[in-house]
Amino acid sequence: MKKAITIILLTTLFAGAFAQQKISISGIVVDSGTEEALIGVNVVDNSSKYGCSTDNSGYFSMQIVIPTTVTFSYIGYTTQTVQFNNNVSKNIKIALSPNSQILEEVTINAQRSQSGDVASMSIKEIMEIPAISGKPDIAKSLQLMPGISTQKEGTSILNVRGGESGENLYLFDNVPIIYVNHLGGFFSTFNPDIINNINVFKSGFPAKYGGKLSSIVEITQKEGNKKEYKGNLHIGLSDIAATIEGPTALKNSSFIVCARKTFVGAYLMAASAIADQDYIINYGFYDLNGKFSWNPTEKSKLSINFYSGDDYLSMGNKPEGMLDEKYRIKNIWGNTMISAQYQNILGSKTFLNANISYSKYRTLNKTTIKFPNDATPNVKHKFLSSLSSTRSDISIKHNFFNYWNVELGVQAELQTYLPTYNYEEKSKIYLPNLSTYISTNVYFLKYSSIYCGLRANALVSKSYKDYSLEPRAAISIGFSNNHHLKFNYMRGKQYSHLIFTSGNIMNNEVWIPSDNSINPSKVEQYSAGWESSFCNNKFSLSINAYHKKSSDLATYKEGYRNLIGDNYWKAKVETGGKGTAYGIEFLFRKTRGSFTGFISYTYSRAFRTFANINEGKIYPYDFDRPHCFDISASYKINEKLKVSATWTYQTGIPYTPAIGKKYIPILQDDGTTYNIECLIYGEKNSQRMKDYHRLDIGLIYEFKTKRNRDAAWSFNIYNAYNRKNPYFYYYNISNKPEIYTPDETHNAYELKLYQISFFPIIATVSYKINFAGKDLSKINP
Amino acid sequence: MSLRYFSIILLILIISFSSCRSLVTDEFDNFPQKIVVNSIIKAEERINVNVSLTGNINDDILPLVENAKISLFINDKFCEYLTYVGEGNYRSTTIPHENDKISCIVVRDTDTARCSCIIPVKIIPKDIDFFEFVDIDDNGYPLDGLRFTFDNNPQQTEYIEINIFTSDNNMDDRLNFGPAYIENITDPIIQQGGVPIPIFSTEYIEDNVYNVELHFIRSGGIDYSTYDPSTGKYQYIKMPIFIKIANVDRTYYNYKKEYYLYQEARYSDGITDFSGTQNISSNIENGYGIFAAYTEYIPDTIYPK
Repeated sequence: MKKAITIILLTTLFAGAFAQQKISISGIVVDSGTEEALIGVNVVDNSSKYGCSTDNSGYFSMQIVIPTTVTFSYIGYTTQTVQFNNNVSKNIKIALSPNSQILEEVTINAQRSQSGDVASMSIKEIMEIPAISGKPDIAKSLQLMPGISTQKEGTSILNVRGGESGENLYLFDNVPIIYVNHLGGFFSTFNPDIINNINVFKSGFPAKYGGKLSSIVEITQKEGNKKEYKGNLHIGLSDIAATIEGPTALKNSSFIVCARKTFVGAYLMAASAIADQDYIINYGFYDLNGKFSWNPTEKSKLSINFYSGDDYLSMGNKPEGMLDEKYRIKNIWGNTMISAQYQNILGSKTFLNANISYSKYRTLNKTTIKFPNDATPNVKHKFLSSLSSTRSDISIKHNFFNYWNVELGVQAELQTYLPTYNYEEKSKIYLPNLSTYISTNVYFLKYSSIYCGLRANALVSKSYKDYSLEPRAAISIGFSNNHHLKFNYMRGKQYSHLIFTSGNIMNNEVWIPSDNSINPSKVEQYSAGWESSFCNNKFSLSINAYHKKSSDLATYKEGYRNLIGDNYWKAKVETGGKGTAYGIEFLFRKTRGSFTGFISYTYSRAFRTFANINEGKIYPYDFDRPHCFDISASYKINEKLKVSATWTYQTGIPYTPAIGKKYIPILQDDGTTYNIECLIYGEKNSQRMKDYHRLDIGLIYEFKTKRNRDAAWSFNIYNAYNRKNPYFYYYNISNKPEIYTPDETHNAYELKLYQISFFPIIATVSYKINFAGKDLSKINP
Repeated sequence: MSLRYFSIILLILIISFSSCRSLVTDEFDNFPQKIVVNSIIKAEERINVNVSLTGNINDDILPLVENAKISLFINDKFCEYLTYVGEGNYRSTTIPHENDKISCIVVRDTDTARCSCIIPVKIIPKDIDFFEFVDIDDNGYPLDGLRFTFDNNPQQTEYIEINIFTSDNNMDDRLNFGPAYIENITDPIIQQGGVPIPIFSTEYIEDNVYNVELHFIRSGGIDYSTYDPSTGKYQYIKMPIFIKIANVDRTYYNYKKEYYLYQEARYSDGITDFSGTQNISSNIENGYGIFAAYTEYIPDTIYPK
């Protein structure tokens, strides 16, 4: 009886799929002009009305009932319909042509149908958001999305749903990038000129992703234009960036190279010279991104990516006399990454993806002091902290039917940690990690789906072993194509802990590995949400609620703020922390028309408990902000002029208040004591700073140059009404920068509470010009 | 680019990264007044206890208590009432010794605070070795080294503070000795404690003998009369070194570490080091303060050759 019921149910659920004359079609959808893969193209079988969308490689696969037509539609491109009559499974390549009429009016909103709790932002949306440097910043734009916040003002660091900043996995074309900030977080390392698409998984991570607790930031790089040479130059007040792309000598191949460099250092050096200081400071950063893509056949693709980005801060004096010492202090920190990816469509239902990559983050400090005519020998100090990851993975995705696909894969990674290295005692720690996963998607009742995944991790090093299973599940119940109810569940584990102090311009990020005394941190998250789009997809609304519990978190022991250069860093690390976070998020978007934008609101709370912090009592997380509200709007005045504005409101971050004062004894060399005042602090993070809010305004003027090149001026005003948002609070006797110090003669002072604010009203301007070469396909058709 | 445009760009940049300091509040909730008892007792010296009261953030003076009644107990036996000697200080006539348990009951009006500590026994190192010129600090000054060898009982935890003093002349006149700058602390036992100050615990030492090495700047500087033209080098004037080794109790050990961290957080430069907080804990029942003890050992003055 049970069997019969099951068969009837299955037959009912998947009735549409059991029709006759089925064939499998699969392939890649590309831009006809550049041959670049298009992500999130809607592919719909017009007979069955079954649809899917292309993935990050532009790949799709589905089964159709012939004869039928399949429509490929993508916002900003002319829709293409293809007729299928032959009873033969097919691999096809669809080239969609950009439609400038539509392109100017709509926003690309990709991947709505994917499982998991995903925040997406199109590169077009990001480009329109006013930015402090005049050039859009990927991370700061993502901070406007519900559930994603930052730490201190101006930083690109992401905190997702009450998680730590080290709990985000930044995947740059499927390769992890470890350090994602420049200038202490004021700039993110992701250059928008090379970004194609961004998705942030806040919960319900696909089983193929692991190793982090809070989010997966999936960034897809652009591919170079396969038909013509193109480029652009972007000059802002703080940096200059250039991109060049085009075909290579190899058929069906292209390259794209993007470089960015700041000239803050030149200002600093000039300022040192103008002020006639006896020292010179130089600061700078650069990024270099590149991608080579080659399609040896229509079914396969090979890509090679590289990224290199460093910050450097150097300081030196200007010795005046022969006897003056000469000192140089140099700090360099950043990432290097190189990877190769191979993709192949096997048959018409199977997609193979293989990657190999190497990624390294390091922070290096060198101090040199030379004493020319002295008894004193020269001084040389070096310090290094690094984390590198050598990784390879292979995955296969097979579509058994339209309503069922399975993906499985294996990932092997060797992480090499050097938490502190002073060139005296080298203590590299190796953590080999093998993960395997399987996941399946089942679609039912036309608009609904179930995703189930399981990830197994084995970490086996000489001194430490750990095995774990991470289940992932997502259910999407569709009431129509436009209304979905979603539920997500996930468990995750992270074997590395990031210890650092937020807001410090000097990099102090140290990654420490799990071992027998520092357990890997774990997370368990439930979330549920509603997603709707209406008025012919002109508007969309999503509401999500979540509850997250994490354990075995690590942070500084109370009072400590830096691990750099410390061989005994373990004495400063507090482990075994627990975290709780919950919240509800709203996002309302208008994606079409001259007027586009979004409103997002998040109510959330995040708490921590550590045995030796705040006397073991629960306290609000350092960046807990119950209310976050963002409104971003963009209005196209005419073909040349676009104006945009963003208003951000956040509850003030918590701080630990001083509640009273007492005397403490200072023991002198002669054995006597005297008293000085000492603040008595209340419970950790028990009060809040003033609320944060700010308005940014942007204006983009696009025009053609005399040589008929596309160019644009971008004018931005950051913090338009000059709100003095608190960066931090401190107690002092006056608002002078010097902090008073009590001593034997004056042991107590009348203290007041002051705030420091950075970032007043800031106006910036930037200029971008595009260069285009000849269309090679027209020269050699 | 003309100077005018350059100046505009520079001005924008300076404004961008300039900070603004403004008053948040000068009014604070009243903090309930509690007794504060502070005393760092040294073996073989009279006990001095300071009594004051807690205050509000915006108080420019913290009240000293002149009318407290302090009962002193040694090894749980009543000994005497301490005598007020001014400035909130109360002194004993009794002299405490190593291993004595010292307790005080401090009564002020209706408030009573209690505290106690045990005076640690004297620690005498097995050896003290002097090494000249073992390292250089970040400013290029040469550092001398002292290695202390101690016996250890793994079953018992000791807390030891080492103070090094150097003289600014080569006479053994202790009035001229000043604290030596102890720098580049790389000794693993001290580093294990988490703060770069010369105080450590034997909690994690399992051997029966251990060493602690400290590097310091000796006062005196360069003797320019020793210039050797063939090498272009000078010699340093070798001044005497005076050492104090204190066996302190756990309260004092924690207090010293917390005080270091408190200072680091409280008096940071406010730009690159953002404000943190560190409470200094108290071992006073129904009050605040530090009631701690130590025993000091002074080895012979070292005269480097």
